[in-house]
Amino acid sequence: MTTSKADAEKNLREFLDAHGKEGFLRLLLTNYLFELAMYYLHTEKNPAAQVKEDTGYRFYVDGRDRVYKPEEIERFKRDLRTECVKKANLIIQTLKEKELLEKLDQDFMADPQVAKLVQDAFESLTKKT
Amino acid sequence: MVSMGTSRAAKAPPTRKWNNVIGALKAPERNANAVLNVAFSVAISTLPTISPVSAPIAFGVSEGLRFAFDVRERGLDTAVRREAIRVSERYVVPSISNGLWEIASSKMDPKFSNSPFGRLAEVAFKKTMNQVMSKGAEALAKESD
Repeated sequence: MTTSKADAEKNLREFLDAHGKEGFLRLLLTNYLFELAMYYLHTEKNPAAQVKEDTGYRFYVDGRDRVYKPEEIERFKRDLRTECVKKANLIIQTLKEKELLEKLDQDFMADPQVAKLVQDAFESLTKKT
Repeated sequence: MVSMGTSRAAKAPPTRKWNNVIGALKAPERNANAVLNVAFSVAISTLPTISPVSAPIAFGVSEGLRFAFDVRERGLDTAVRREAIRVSERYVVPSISNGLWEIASSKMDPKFSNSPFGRLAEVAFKKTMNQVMSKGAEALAKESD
């Protein structure tokens, strides 16, 4: 069933009332980090860098060359998404510490200084969670 | 990107440290926490700066939040008119998400919007807007637990 304009507006308001700006950010960053994880974990070998196996192959086949069951792969994806939530929270925490959260619903990318600070906050995703 | 039969896969990041990610994936009890920590750490370390990864989604954050707050303040009809978004009667939500991403990508350097990270950001942005506008508060229910 398609969503009407009235329902889209109601849903958007309901989301903001329940989760606010931070919730929107958490969902968007989690979705992005999950896409990023899937991208990197489906890469192929790079002999020039002495990477001789496809990560994309090892995502589906274990160290003893047995194919993972579909439910094991789905569970692993769910676990990866949970880890992406942790990384998203770390980025949000950094944005809060830099007092950038309140600026995010403005056109902050038009301000080079703010844009740089926001982008620097993404360095947090390399920290261990 | 390189061709691999009918599918397309990017090459692994150019560092032998990527073998650590393969090692984590091959571990007898593979662990998502370990895999993700090592994958992001190694992959990002091969980039000269974080901006190719962060810029496309940062534009998405800006556009998505600005629109969401505009809808809350002025209503959806006014918000889409202000952004000059063409809303399909049949596919209301996807057409709004698509229009918003077009605005976001028009504001960024094409080297970001046309990059693999730009395409990942586009998928994540449209998915998020679709979830929020079609599911409401429930869109984040699981992540909030």
